[in-house]
Amino acid sequence: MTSSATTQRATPLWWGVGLAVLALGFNVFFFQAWPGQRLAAWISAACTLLALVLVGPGAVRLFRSPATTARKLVGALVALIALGAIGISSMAFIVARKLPASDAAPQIGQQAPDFTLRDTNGTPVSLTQLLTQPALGAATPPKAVLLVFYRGWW
Amino acid sequence: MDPPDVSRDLAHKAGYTIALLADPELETIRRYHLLHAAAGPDGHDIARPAEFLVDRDRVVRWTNFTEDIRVRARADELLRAAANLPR
Repeated sequence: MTSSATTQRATPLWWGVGLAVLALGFNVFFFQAWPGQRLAAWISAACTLLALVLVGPGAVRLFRSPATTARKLVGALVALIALGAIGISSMAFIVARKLPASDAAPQIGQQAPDFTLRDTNGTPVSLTQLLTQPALGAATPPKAVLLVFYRGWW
Repeated sequence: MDPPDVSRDLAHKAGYTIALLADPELETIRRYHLLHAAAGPDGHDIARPAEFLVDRDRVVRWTNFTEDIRVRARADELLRAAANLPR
């Protein structure tokens, strides 16, 4: 068997590895806060799925081919790395989307419940206060308040 | 969710002038139905990420509930929502 035939047999495996790495790479969108993060999450998931489809059969094909043992060992190692990357990407996708539904949360047009919480100096601050008092350095009360329920990068 | 002193250190380091409020008892988070049970680093309850733009009449004018915790509202989206408010 010629080496080109062997290379051809290994091609799906390499494509799978490439896609698995690409799927991980798409996480840069989140860390860099680039635009298009929603799309990036789905493209990453699609790459992960495609990588899984290619790596398994790709590895089987390589092992059934008359390639040298050394090549097969390299192929097995590469397949393992790819499967690891696929596993990480799949878990990230599943865990990241495990969010409670927010059906009961205030929706557009509804009244936002008032609240009083302590600021960083321990002073109680209410939503009404934020809406009716000028913000730091402002002369008039704001036309709106942006509420961000932030939980860090977790 | 962090106690106020932790938030104060963060705000000081980052130079924030926004009101940084802490809800360690999860009271407001519950009132807004945003509790994400056992999702915190140590398995404690925290809020799901969410953003609301509330006008002077305390009416919600814009919301953002991400479906993926990796995907957060970007500053330009928040600013656009604010710019779209009348006046």
